[in-house]
Amino acid sequence: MKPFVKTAFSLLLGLLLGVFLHYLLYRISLPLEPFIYASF
Amino acid sequence: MIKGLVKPRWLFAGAAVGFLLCCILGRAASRHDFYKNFVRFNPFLNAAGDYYPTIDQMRQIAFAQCPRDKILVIVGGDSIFHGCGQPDDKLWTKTLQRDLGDRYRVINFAFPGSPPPGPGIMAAQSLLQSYPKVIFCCNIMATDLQQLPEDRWYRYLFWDAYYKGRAAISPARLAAAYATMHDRDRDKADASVKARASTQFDSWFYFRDLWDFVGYRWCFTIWNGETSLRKLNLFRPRKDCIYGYVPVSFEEREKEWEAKTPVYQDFMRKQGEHFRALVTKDSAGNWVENNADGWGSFDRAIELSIPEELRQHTLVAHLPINPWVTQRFVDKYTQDCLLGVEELAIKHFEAVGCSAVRCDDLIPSDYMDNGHLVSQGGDRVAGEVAAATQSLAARLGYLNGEGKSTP
Repeated sequence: MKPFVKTAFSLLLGLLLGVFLHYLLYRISLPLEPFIYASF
Repeated sequence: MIKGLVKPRWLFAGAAVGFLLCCILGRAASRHDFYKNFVRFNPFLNAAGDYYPTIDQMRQIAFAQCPRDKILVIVGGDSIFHGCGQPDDKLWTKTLQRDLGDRYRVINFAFPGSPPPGPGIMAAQSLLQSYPKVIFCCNIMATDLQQLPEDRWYRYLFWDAYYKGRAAISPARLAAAYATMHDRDRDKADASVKARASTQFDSWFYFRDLWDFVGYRWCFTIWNGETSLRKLNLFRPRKDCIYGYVPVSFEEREKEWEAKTPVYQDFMRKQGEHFRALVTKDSAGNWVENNADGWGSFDRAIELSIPEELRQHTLVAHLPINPWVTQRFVDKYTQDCLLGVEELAIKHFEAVGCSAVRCDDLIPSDYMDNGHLVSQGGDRVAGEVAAATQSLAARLGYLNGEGKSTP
């Protein structure tokens, strides 16, 4: 495989990884306990 | 196999760029109002739908909806002021806006499941810096006196305002928030630690703003039984999700209440004990406080939940429990005690500089259940709150063309 293609592929994969890590932080920040709201 | 395909240095560089790009986009999302025609944080836009708006989103909604020369009325509180039981087009805050007229802009930041004054108060406090004329209005019921101000679902908004520097937090409030992290209830303490830590991270990386934006505009990625699976809203952007309340006739509601008799009996028995312990009548027939500890903790709750600089801008609306419930399930003396508690609670709010209004004209057909109101009740409350808001605006000098400066 040409070095340029390898570099581009690595960069793109890295970009996706970075976005995924950001999204992961968002998901981790969500409260674990489910929202339970009782009205009567 | 992948070892030969990737160049680690470029992979890490790409990851850093991708992450940084997301942070920049998140920050950009926090700086404009992406809620088109915002009405309220309905169950698709609050904790019920695993959606957690940020303080910046609330600020941007206010900036988009309220020009600086108008009187900004932020409605906080819980599910009652949120308008559970009322469809968007017949929401009580829309009636309030109509009653108040064009000089005012009413924005509903009330959240179901959050004890009054609710997280809307963080937005109001934050907007005091940006608007010369701000009024914060929230509801309270006598039953709330026991649970102020612990907020299980929206405590992150306190930290959000704190870490992003959107509101000045007094040392006492900060100490109280830190104290929840050492609660004897381990789950509660852990949830508090997580809310604080994750919000601090968010103030650096802006992930909530970015992924809220994505979820609102394009694709919501969290499924929960309430808003995704049951209503077949998988992946549907939250802007396209409509939450409707179906009107139910009074006769049908009464049948439902009859069926809930044991629940109401138990609820009112416990509340009745609490009310009777709080007040007593003196020989002259005046209500006096009976439980110094109970009222002391109530005072502390008020002081911690309503920031000092906001108190003169705060209007507390007291709503009674559905009279259909109180008249059936508690004796006459307890009903009187309930009125006494309401009367004294209002005095406690007024003693710290807040204004208060009692919405005592409500009748059983105004209610959806023991506390929530249907549109008819919402209209009635809107009328009372509008009059009280206008009085407060006059006292603050807002109607003379000048806003009072905040201390």
